[in-house]
Amino acid sequence: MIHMANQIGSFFAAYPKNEAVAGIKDHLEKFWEPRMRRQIIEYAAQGAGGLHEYVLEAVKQLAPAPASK
Amino acid sequence: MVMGMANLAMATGNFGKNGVGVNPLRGQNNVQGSCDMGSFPHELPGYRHVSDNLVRQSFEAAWNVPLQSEPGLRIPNMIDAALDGTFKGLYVQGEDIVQSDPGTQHISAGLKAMECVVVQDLFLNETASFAHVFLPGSSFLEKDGTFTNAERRISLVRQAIPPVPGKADWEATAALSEAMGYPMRYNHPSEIMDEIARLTPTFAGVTYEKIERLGSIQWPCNEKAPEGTPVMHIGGFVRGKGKFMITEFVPTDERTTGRFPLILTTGRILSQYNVGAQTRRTSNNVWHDMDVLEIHPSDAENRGIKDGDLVSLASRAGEITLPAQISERMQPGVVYTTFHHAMTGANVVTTDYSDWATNCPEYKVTAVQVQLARHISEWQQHYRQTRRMTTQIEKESAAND
Repeated sequence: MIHMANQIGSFFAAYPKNEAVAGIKDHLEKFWEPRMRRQIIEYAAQGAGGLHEYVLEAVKQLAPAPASK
Repeated sequence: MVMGMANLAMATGNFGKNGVGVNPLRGQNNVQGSCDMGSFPHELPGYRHVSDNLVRQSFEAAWNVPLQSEPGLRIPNMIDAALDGTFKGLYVQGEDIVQSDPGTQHISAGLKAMECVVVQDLFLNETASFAHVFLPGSSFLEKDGTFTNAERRISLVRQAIPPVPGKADWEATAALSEAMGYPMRYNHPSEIMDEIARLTPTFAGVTYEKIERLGSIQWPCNEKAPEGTPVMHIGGFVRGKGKFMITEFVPTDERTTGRFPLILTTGRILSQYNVGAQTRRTSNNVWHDMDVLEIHPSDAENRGIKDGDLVSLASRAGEITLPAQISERMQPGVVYTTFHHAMTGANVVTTDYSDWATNCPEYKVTAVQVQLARHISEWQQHYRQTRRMTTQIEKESAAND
């Protein structure tokens, strides 16, 4: 998961920072299932070791993912 | 890559006229059709995101059930979630993920961890070995329906013989749904198409009768284009002018090392279809009766490998053995094999890396080592033992029929 998140970060790194963070956030919201978003939010809260700087910023802006039904 | 090609086509004016555009060469005949119909875990038919309230509500009203507004899991994520204990069941139709997806051991472990795996297929494929329930599939000759190719062209598939299992695939799915408490009362696939037309604007004008009359229809087909749309984007895009995207190259993290100094790339050949579940049971095997490892003469010589030798192919994910074929068409440092034969287990060696945007597995880059081998790999020995049992079931089933 971290590997994939950092690849998303590498793709968007070519954009100005604000656009990159918004692009990463949009991608995570549109394509990552809630439990994956919960996992990365939790990972970021626990120190986010090795997470791309832009990805970390985007994850901080994510709304809490809904719980599984 | 896709965005880069779209950029190039826009920059060179190759949109909106005859004979130009960007078209993928699909690996299967109806990939386009299944994508059109919302097989992505984040989309409803017509490429509309599940978070679109208006679209979702139109389906909720038609089906009288609530629909989730969040994206679902893709196959690799499903397997990971199964191993985490949060993904319990899978209904697989016409796909053999155990043989086709990378990291065979990982996929197998994920399926084993699930509580209910239903496989519907023409044959007892590799995934069927993990099924709690197996439903017989029907071939294209046994059902009515449509296939859509990469130029958005919808064509009819006409039933030639009644379904041998007694039900066409769509009937089996409808029966399963009804048994689970949600009746799907369609009398014919044309009624399913009528529903698609009611709910999907780009299909609003599509009917079986019209496809029959015109021969085929390229969507969008609606009030504006009642006979379909052979060329899209004439004079501009839906959003107006095209948008150029920066497409930063994101290289793979897979690296050759001293331990795994070669790159493996896998692929397909003409005479076997994908995992070979269908074609291995035909005389096509005359042309391709086993997977071989193509290797450049210098890489072979460095390892003392001669043409036809049994070699081991190992990566950080796993190890298999197969015959070597010395081939000038390989570049030094790169080896190649196909994944058509289950006994080979080519995807035992490939890794679970996938691309960031779509989770498309990274079949083309796996760091490997190749060495002479004296016996088949441990995975292949285990496979032979278990496959013997399922083959017996298949033979008994055929005899009973």
